[in-house]
Amino acid sequence: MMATAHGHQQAGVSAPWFVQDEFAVSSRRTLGLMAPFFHALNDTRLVTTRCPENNWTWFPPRPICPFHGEANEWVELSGNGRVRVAIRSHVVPQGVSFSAPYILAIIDIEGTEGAVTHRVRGADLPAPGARVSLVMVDDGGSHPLSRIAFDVDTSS
Amino acid sequence: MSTEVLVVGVGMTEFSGHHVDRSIDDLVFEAARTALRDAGAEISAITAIVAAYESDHFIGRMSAGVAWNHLIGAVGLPVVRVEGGGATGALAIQAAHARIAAGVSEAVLVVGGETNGKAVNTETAQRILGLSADTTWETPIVGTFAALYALSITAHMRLYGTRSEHFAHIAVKNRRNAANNPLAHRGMHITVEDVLASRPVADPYRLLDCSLLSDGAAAVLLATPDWARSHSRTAKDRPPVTLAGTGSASDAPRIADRNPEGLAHFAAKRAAAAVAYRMGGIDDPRAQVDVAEIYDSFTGAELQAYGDLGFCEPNEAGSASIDGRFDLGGLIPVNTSGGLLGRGSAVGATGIAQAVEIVNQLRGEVEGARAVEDARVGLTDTHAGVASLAAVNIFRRAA
Repeated sequence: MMATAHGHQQAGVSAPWFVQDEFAVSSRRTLGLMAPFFHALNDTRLVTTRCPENNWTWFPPRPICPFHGEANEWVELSGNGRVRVAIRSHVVPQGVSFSAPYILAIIDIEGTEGAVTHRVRGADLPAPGARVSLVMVDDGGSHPLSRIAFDVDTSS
Repeated sequence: MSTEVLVVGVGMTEFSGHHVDRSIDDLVFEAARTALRDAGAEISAITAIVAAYESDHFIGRMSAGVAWNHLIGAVGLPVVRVEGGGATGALAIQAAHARIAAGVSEAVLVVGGETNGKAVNTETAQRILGLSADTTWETPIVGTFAALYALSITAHMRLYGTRSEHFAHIAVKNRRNAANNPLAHRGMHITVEDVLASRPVADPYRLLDCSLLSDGAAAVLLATPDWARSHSRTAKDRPPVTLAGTGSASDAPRIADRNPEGLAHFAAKRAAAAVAYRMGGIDDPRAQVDVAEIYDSFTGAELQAYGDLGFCEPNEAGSASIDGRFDLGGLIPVNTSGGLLGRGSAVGATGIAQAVEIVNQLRGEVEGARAVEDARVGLTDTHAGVASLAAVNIFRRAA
């Protein structure tokens, strides 16, 4: 029998042997035609696209209408929305600065036909239908989407 | 689609949290050889291979199918890789079926494996698996599948009054079944109270609501009846099992793109089942399906599937989960293998391992407490993401 730093000792069989393979990947991916959304977000503005053919307002944006195949136009949004459903998560994604637990919600975005899954700040779980507003945050992270969150609008 | 496709051989390895003494190649070899031995067939008689694995990251290789061909003595045969997240194994079976039904191949060995256990640490594993969700809009904020599934089951709870106790029962049932499966990753005898007291992950899900990440491999051999008569030494000695129906369908990858009611349901699963049922001659699954393996990545996902597969009305899925109808001895025993919660999940192998369990049940070759008596029709159900892609396969004992 032989014990190694790589495996445990087992009577009658050879100890397992492992290969420690380090393969770090740092990727730099373009977000392509979606760039105007992130430029606006960096400027604390929420924008999306609208189909000039039927006025359907997408969220998240669709730069090209999947039904007409033509370029959609960019429009600005209020940054408000309403909570459809919310949960409390006890595990945070990698690369963010905020800590668990945190509140995740599917938010119907005002002025659009779409919704986004995003963080709602605060300790209390917002009720379905609660009005929320986009805010820029300091405790986000490296990804541009993590630098925004939603706050419950207590004035409504 | 008129060509009958038989399942002439099945095999799988033990699923484990970490097979320290066997590599992915060793596991795949064992599963493939077990399926060939089960069929009483030689590798030289096989006409094509379908290789199933989800991620290059866990096994540390691309184009693994070519290496696996070499491994099992099938160099020269065509091999195609199938990947579809959690549905990978079931879609690989579907691809093999299509190849046979089209008359391209007579006998296709489907082999899948993954080392999801400890090849990478848990944090990295969650990040890799998260690549199959929406990486532009949801993954950076949501992080884990647990949170996405939690949003979906919360919608189900609001719509139908489903309670945590309802899906906690599934954690108890599947882990109990796994305790009777010698190839399962981790069987346990636990209570609903244990589940509800375990560490919260993403409300309402707790640790014991979550499935296991495993190392493992599985294989099935599909063939025409003519091939089986000529090349399988065991086919004549056991009741033939056919892959009678197979269906798949997709949904929006972002769960926020699903409408309020749709969020509580798996539309892709409904659509995939409708295709498989139609093809397999199933018009009343409650009366015609005898045993099923359902994709229980989280306990609530199995509960939601009861309604979406037509095993009960969606609004009674909660009560149905605790009244015993999906337990052993019930109307349709579900996850007799232990499911992903107990048998475990090695992603590329999972849908194939489900087929192994169902075929063994239909043959009457499952022994002991988890055997389903006189089962004639069995179903497997898997999906990718939060059911953004679903695959349903129907197996039928022909005699």
